[in-house]
Amino acid sequence: MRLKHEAIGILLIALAVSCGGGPDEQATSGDAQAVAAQGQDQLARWFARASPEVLALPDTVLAYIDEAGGRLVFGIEHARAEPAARAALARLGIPDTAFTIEETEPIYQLVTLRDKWRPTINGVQIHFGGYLCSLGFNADHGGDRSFVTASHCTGKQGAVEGTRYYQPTSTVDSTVIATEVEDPTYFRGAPCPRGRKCRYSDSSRALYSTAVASSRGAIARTSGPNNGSLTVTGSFSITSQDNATSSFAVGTTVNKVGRTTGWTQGNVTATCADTNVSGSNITLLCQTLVQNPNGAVVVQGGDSGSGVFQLTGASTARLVGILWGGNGTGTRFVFSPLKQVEDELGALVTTQ
Amino acid sequence: MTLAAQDSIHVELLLEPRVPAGEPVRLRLRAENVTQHAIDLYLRGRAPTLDVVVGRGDGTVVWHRLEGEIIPAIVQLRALRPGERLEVDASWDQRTNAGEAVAPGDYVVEASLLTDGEPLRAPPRPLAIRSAAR
Repeated sequence: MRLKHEAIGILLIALAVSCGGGPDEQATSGDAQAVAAQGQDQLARWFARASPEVLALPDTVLAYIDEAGGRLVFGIEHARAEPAARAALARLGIPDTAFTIEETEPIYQLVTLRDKWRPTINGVQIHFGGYLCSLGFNADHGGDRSFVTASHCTGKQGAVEGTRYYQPTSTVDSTVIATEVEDPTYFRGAPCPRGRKCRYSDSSRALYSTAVASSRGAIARTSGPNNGSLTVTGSFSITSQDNATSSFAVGTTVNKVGRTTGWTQGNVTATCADTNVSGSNITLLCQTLVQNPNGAVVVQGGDSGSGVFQLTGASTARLVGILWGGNGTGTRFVFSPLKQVEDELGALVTTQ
Repeated sequence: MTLAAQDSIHVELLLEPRVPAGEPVRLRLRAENVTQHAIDLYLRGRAPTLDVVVGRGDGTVVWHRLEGEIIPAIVQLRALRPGERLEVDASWDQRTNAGEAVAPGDYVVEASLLTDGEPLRAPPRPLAIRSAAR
């Protein structure tokens, strides 16, 4: 899938370019002498005229003065871009001996899970109140264009008070991207343990603002599982969703993408476990626990709300749940099965 | 929080160094911004989450506050002004995670505040639990 995104706080790839770079292998000794005769001032004047002209052409990458080699250097993506560049330089009266054109890999802007994304995509950072979570998954609910995140990623857990969400933060973009519309009440009584309140999923739904674009069925993808990278390199497509499973088989491999630990992967170690939430009187019933067999960190604060999925192909996924918590060291995460999310929020369409 | 921010936050654990056997041990982790500018902390949980590990001198852990706990994976943004302190309290009832009372003796207490990355750790502090007869 081709993603459109708008990067804020962009991390630029470090250019593997040295301004005192290597010699032009094709230059003859006569050329070198001729170039050497051209002063740095002349090069600077040519550069000032040539750089904007050449970089305005399609498939050009960079321009710089190779001071050691005494010439201008223009990077292009492929040989097909060379004639236009040469023509532009000729029009400017810059002699062939004064420049080199070389094929150069294009320079990409790197965007992370914590940057601004429009349309929004699953797995990126969202902000409300004084808190950060992850956008779990975009979903249609009836005619409502929505996203689902954790119930505790709302102003008040288990109540609808119209929590307003920003992406990535209200400081970066003050647009309210969505407003909370569903967060069912926690119940007491059997099968909930005495003195506690319960639900079967830690999930809530927010309705998108009309002007904010969202991409349904796309999960931001980083460079690999459990490597700590937050840089988005592509996406997974949700092509199916599991509306039926509450008890996942132990050993099942699942994944999540969230704003803090990125793409992580582990195996189900406990299924349909009633789970007390630390520091609260909440118990979440029939939850699924996941650990990486090599002990990798799979969750940290800020990953709440991440969609949990199984890979069904190289870049396709089946959505199976929503992550809401983990242990203190981050080696275990807990998720609510999608079936239980839908039992509480209603039917959701999450696929592309 | 960033490593740079972690360097700029002074973290310490406050506790009475000697307590009678059987008495609750009151613990306070204090994080103070020692710079001249505000620092954003990214604290895990709806409320700050304090982890405490009590061990013997030989490294044996007798109590781990977050042992077996499942904590919501939400991050609270908390800005600390220059000189501002954040304090989080906890208490230990001198029992192991299995519920058994620990013996009088010398212990080491470590405390840390969970963030969205490396925890804010306070330097370990010694703790002497003395029997009533001593």
